Amino acid sequence: MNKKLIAVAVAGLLAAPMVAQAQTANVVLYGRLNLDLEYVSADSPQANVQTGNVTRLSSNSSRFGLRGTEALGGGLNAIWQIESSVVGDAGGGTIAGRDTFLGLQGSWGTVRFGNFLAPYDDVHPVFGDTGTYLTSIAAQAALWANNGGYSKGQGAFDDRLGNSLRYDSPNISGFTGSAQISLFDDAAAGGAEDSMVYSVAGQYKNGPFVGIMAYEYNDDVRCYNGNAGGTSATCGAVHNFRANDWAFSIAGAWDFGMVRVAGLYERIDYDTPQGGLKRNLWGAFFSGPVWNGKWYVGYSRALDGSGPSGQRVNGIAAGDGTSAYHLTLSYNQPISKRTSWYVAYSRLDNNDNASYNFNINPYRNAINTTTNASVSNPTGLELSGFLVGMIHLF
Amino acid sequence: MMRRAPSGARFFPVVGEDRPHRAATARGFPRTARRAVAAHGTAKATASITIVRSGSSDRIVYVTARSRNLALAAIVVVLAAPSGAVAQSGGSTLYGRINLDMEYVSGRGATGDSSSSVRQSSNSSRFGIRGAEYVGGGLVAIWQVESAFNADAGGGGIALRETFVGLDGDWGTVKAGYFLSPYDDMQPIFGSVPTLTTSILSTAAIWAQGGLAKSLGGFDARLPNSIRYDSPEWEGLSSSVQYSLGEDARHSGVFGLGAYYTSDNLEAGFAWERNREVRGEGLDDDALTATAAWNFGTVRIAGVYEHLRYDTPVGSLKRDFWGASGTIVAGPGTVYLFAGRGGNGRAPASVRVGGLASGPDTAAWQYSLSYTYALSSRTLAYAGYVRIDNDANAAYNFYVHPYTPDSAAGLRLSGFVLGAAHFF
Repeated sequence: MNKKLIAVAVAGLLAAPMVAQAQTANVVLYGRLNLDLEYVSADSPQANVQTGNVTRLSSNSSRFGLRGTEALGGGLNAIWQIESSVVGDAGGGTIAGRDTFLGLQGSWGTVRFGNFLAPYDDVHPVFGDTGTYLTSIAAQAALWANNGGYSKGQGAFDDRLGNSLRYDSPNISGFTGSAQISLFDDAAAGGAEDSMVYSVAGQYKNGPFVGIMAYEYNDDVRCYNGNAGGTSATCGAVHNFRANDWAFSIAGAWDFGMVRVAGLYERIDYDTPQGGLKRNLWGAFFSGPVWNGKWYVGYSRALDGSGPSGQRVNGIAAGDGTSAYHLTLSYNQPISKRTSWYVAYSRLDNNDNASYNFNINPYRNAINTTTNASVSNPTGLELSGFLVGMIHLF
Repeated sequence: MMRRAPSGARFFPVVGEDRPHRAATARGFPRTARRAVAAHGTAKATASITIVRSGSSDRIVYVTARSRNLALAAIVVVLAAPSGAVAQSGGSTLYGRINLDMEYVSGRGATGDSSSSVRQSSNSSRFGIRGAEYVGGGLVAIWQVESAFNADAGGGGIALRETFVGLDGDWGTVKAGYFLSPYDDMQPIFGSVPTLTTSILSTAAIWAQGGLAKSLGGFDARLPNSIRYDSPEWEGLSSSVQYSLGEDARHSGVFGLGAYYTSDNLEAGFAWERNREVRGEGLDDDALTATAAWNFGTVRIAGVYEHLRYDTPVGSLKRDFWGASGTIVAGPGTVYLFAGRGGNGRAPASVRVGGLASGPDTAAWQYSLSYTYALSSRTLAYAGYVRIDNDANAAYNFYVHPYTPDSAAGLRLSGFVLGAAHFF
């Protein structure tokens, strides 16, 4: 009938092999393996807590992923990523367990939805050890965000958030802004149907300077039965108090060339039935080039918490002896464009009534000698770790 | 890449996802292509959006040919050309899709209490590896490993979706593994193809009790330990047969049979599935579906009838289901409308299997409405509304992501959906 139309159809279809090739080329397979050998020694001031020293092989945020971009025309791109975790030391992992999203990118910024880290996490690279990829027991995000050894459902900040929507602004003369909402409704992560997490950040970069402010709000992520806290999922219908918690961070860094200096302040405020449980944290961080690699010295100090006694959220409690410090020394050296090795020392020292732990691969070898049960995060834990590791990016 | 059809052309979704029968002929073997071209080389022209499982990837293809067969043939010819990507990885191809939506769902119980929630859902997101190898004697070895992932919150499983190894020849295709049955091939004929027959908009909610596992009486589940045969197409006719082994002491299994007819404007299908002692000793269940669709050009009308029969301790529990759908080209997108009604369950005494119970007030309606807009040949955006009205004693729920705050009988469920899907 209409031969012209058929011709158009076939011509259009014959353009397909170009598309087919281009589209497969648009899928990038990537990943990294980060493994270290570490010796962790631990002490506890508690008479009935036994802490053994342990030699471990650890996988630090190892992963593989698929990602791509498709130009939709009009300056609009579809962007996507599926990133899975890999337990490089003992096997296992979770498909799409790391940053996974589908989004749109235009001159107005980027919108994504899926499972990924929040703007609050963007503070970490400003002060943290980028040379060892901000992971392992050397990571300075242990006291910061009250995250080490704890989950979002327990009240941590800086977690990967499922069911998220995020907007990132374009760079406007050095300024960028980000905002994210997570429908924290996954029971597996400790959330209930109406739990939400909000996270925002504003960043300014200009030459050697970078500064960032971030705020994260956990809305009904935890709740209380009487004075006992729990996650929204475990509280169920009998909770009598829903907690709205927040964290605020400000960090800045100046790169002088020989040395980069960074500073960090954080305030965390937890709702409890007996009033707010608050904590301040300060940190100073230095890094610079040496030989073929980079050195890093980081120190952060969580001050005593304030608020009602008898309340604890993760590492934080109020009153005397609830402070802690975390010191990291590291050196990393690239041995090719995609491979590097590193050596580090990490000391996390809790005062008698603080219960912080390492962030990635927390120490889990404490035992209560009375009950013979394992204790995840005993108070007063003093941890020291030596590590030698290697990273390969592909 | 953006490719729009010539102005005045009409878009139409014709082929749905997960349709192994059609997929086999579209997979891209030169032999099949030559035959298809010879058979349909003189076809007339109209337009469609077609999702094609090709040798390299699932893709949305804009077709301006009146015959879908011509379109398929042309695509097959094109994709039979060797691609660099296939060559470089020894004949295997990486593909997948991400499908995410934001949805507002609400439910009102029989006693008038109601609740609602805002959710983000991942709808049948997947990635896979597949390939084909010419093994000589007119035979092609085909294989696929398809994995599921939850794009909204992480998790998933390797090989949890269509996964098989098989042989394709002039006599048809045989494959073994873990995959959907011929019964599922009915869904693309009447179902919510423009929204990829998934999400809470899916029309497999009351039909087939599709949201239920096999062990609970569902008839649209992926079947493990399966062997399947797909016949070649003859004068528009083809058929499939599948058996899935339960691998238990009572020798349970699922038997599936499908027959299909496709011509320029008509698509029709008939399928039967039998669950043999899947739910328990001595309990055999049957599902029968007949469906047909006529393509008028800008409008495609489909109808579906289903009969379910479950063995129960009190005797057979039976139900009839009727549904109709319309797919309408609307500007640059596609509108899809569906209404279906599962009638009252009939049994000698009171009994329930999944959402289906016997007696009065056990019927339910499902309505679904959606608009799909193709941002490119690989990216879709969609919006939709779905409603399930259970009578007082019916307990049907959404497909894929059920409404969970309440699962009692008599729920009135509704959901608004805004989503996007990307194919790679």
